[in-house]
Amino acid sequence: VRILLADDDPVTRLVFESLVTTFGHDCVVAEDGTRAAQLVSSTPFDALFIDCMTAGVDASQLCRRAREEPAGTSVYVVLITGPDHPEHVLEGMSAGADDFLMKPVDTFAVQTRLVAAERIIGLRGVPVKAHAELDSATSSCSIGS
Amino acid sequence: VVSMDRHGTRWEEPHSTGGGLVTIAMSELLDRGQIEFLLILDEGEGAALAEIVDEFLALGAKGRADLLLALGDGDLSTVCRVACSLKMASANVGAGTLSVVCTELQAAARDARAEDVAPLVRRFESEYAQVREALRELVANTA
Repeated sequence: VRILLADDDPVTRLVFESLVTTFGHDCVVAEDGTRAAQLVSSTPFDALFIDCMTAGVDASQLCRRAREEPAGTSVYVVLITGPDHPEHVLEGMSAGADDFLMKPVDTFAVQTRLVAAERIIGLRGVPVKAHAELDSATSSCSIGS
Repeated sequence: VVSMDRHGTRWEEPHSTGGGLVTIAMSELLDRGQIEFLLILDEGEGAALAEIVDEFLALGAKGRADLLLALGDGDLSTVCRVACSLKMASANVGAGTLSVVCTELQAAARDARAEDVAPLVRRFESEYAQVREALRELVANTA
């Protein structure tokens, strides 16, 4: 899974990057929302982990921008928040995030979100295949009639 | 069994982690579960822990200086922002009490309770100094 992490806190970035690398995933880190927005528009990612309190482009704006990208509908977006900011989670999820986790990040929380991300990524090709089968079936019907 | 070192920090006896990877003596200031999590990041070698602790100590040193400066200037907005940052960083290295102090400091600064901010900054300084020593000892013990 190609992951982008946006978080101002260097300690969280280091912990998260070490953790997901241990699981065998690729991770790019952004120190704020502005840098994350640049990366989202230039690089395809499978999953975004965004700190709700990130500086610059905020988490909700980042979610919207990510969803506007060509592969934006299937990118898995997880908000990262502290226990005292639940309102940011609701706002971010309304803007298109799929899930959230609480700081400090831990193995179980990250691993479970990545399992979900992998499932979503696996579903990406399904609509394309279904469309192709439908087109093929439609063509067959036309020939038959 | 708990002992005390020259800094007055209380330490638990060496203890094997759940994965049986390493044996560590650890200060009571630090959350064992979080430290074990950080050690598991590189299968107990301790390099990841050392790097994370270095990053925390750099952030902590800057945060402490920024807090003192902001306190002197009466800049509660900066106190609030720095305390928020230190709160999460402290939790990441298992410094639970320090994280709670930062939470209280953030709340006092946010609510403009100037009379509470100065004592909380002093408490932060004291707790941070102990956590810094405990983390240094921990890294030395796991190297």
